[in-house]
Amino acid sequence: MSNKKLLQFFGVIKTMLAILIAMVLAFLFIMMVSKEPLAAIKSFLTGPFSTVRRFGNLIEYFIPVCFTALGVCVMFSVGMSSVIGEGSVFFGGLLAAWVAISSGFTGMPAKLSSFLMAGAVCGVVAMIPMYLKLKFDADLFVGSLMLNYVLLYLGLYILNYVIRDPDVGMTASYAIPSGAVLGTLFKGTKVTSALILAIVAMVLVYVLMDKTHIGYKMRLIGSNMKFAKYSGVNIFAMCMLSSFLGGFLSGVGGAAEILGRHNRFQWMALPGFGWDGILIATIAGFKPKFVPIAALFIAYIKTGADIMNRTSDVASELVVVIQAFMILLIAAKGFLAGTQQKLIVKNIKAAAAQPAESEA
Amino acid sequence: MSEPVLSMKGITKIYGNGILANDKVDFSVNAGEIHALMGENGAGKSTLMKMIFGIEHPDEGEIYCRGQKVEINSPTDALKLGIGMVHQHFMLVPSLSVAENMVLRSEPRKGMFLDMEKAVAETEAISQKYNLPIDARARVSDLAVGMKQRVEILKALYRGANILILDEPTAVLTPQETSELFKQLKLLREQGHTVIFISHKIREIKELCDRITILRSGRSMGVYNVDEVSVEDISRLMVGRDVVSKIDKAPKHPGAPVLEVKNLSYGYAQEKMMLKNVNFSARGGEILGIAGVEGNGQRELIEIITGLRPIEDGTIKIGGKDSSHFTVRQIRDAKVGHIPQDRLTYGAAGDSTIAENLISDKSDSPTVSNGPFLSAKKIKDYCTRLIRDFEIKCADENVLVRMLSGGNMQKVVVARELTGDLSLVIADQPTRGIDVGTAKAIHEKLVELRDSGVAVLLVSADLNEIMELSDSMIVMYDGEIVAYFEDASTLTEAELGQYMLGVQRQTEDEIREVCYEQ
Repeated sequence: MSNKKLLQFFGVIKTMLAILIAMVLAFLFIMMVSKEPLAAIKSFLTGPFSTVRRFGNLIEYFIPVCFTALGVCVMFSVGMSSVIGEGSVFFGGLLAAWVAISSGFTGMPAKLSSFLMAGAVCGVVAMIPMYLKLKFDADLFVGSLMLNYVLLYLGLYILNYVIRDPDVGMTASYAIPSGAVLGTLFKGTKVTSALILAIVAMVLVYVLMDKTHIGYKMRLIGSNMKFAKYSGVNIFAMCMLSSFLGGFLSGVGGAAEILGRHNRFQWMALPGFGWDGILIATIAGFKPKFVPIAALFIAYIKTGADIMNRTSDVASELVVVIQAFMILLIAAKGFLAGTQQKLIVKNIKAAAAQPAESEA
Repeated sequence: MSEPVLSMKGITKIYGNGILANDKVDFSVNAGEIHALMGENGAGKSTLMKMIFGIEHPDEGEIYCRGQKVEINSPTDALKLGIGMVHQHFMLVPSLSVAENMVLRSEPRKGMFLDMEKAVAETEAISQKYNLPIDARARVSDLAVGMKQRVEILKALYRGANILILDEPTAVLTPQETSELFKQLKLLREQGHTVIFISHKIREIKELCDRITILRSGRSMGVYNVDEVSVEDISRLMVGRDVVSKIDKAPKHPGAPVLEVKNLSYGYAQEKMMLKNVNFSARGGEILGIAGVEGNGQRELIEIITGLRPIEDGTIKIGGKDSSHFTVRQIRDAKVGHIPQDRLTYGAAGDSTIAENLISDKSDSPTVSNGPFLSAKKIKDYCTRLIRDFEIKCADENVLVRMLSGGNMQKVVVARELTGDLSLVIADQPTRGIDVGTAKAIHEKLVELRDSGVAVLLVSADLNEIMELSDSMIVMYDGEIVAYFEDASTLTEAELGQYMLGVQRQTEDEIREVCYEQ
């Protein structure tokens, strides 16, 4: 086995094992807290497939996190971590609602303008922390994290003072006009046409990152920025573009969520899809082609936890514990490093024993 | 003389990325000797020393200290065994005084506070004991480099080290500081201390050391008494090629200047000027060598010409056009190839495949792309051709560059840089640390390009290489050009050495001759 394959194989094994360990821990936890642990585990594992509506829930959750995870893949490809996805998904949802409410368009133009506005504005906003990083060496992680809260409070201001419907008892925007609401694809679910959009986005991002010279340049920056600079890659332009696309995708994800599943915009806090996007992208190894699988998996355990919460005595917060364990194990470079090292040593020695073959 | 105080048997270390840093290395030092550890960059010297000092752990092999088998898992373990290390980059707190640095981690206390007087007294005591005078109350940031190094040595001694590892200690020192350091080290030897001295300066080792262990690509090439081995032998063992290797080349036919550098100065923001009013031009059809001891401004010069470092003062013209403020891309578009001195920093991305490395500068050109889309077929064809032409030994173009040997890695860099339409090639240490065969192939390629009318600018610390390959030569010393030789073939090594070490310099008029007008 070549070293590259060995390392790839190990990456997959590590991820699977991390998931397995996290699940086992979760089950141990359920055993401890639940009076009927087996019923709880059963509803957790099989719940998402028990009815069409529940499976619908899974797909409904899958849609926005697909966008945010793809955004993370693009943003992280340049080797720097911008976590603006969370703020973007929130602000994208708000902008989509705002445009739909106030533009007066109906049908396709209403949807298109909402999505484009959400994507474009969030894309531009996402470029701010990257600009500060490149021009003033301001920490990108901190900058993007803070900007999430700027977006949250700016969004709440707009919600309260611009698009709030005074006639309803709670804090909520005016109703989203029916012309802008996305149609559902399957009866009995709220799975909307945004699913098609998500699939299109997956294909486009995959092609962009793996098949064009633009994606190649971004990845080159990520693997060795000095080498990229030496090779003549325009670091500034590529990093800004990656941030724009990341923000754009997350913004569109927020728009898809609001126009698909909500009558009014009424998020009062960050919805969490952006953080889940980072989680999913991490599991997918930041490769767009693995995003669908990782997103489906996370959607599955989220939905399962939700059902368990409603049908048993175990709280759905449990799923957060599982996620935390998985991330720790997947992200931890040292996890299984000893075994990996032994394998590499063995492999190299075997190769050294047959120099003719390894050189050929 | 005496029995080994420290020995390593069959040490193998493979890093997580698959690099074989040490391969069954035996290493042993006797009590009371100064033992040199020599080898080129990447030969495995640092790795070996890190294992003695507990920073890395060997995958195979055993370490014995004073006859006992030991496990060294951390620098603390090493210190307990009396092993101290003076790193190349000092591990001192610049804002604290010498005494405070000395006692760090074992501070004498007066109640809750540091007992400054006691710290000073202890520092002075140790300084007197070893006859290494130092001002205990001075702030470390105010000390000269040589003094900082002395603090490091004292610190190791203070902690009870009697085996001292010095990692390229002279790299940062002036000649005076170096001879002072040598005196100190000889003094320590008289007092029974053992010194492991890492260096790649042959002269210093000849002067200072008793025995020498030579490493080459992770393997030990043997242990020798310094008195009994010649400079030629050492360099042959270290580099793995005979000192004189003839390169056949036809007489040069210089054309118009391709690269013109005028009044280039750099370093206004640094402590000292790295380049002082540098003027020269490189003509097509000629190999212009830049000789000089490393660190005399060559690196800055090359980085400015290739657009990696912003220009501060002066102008650069490539092909008659002012390129002073060109981006790297614009410079590459002006048909410039650049072999950088640091393969894995600038020359390649180790975690990317050979193919990704070969197309890094032309991913958007029709050579490998159709419009915005990378063409898998074109990339495959292009890479297969380069792998064949430059004889890169690999399974295929999808192998990670990190997995290649140094020589093959360099072939990837050279293949990328020397393919295509070129008017200027900048080769910075193009054959450092690689095997004879590859070095020869690279030399032949450079001569071939020169014969086809390309201007070649060659920077090398390898005297043999620069003397054999260059048609003309300039010598850099302390940021300046101190000599120009229109015909480099008549130059002797001794003559060149005089200029490189700053003993001699030509007159301004002689140096000016290197500027050819368009």
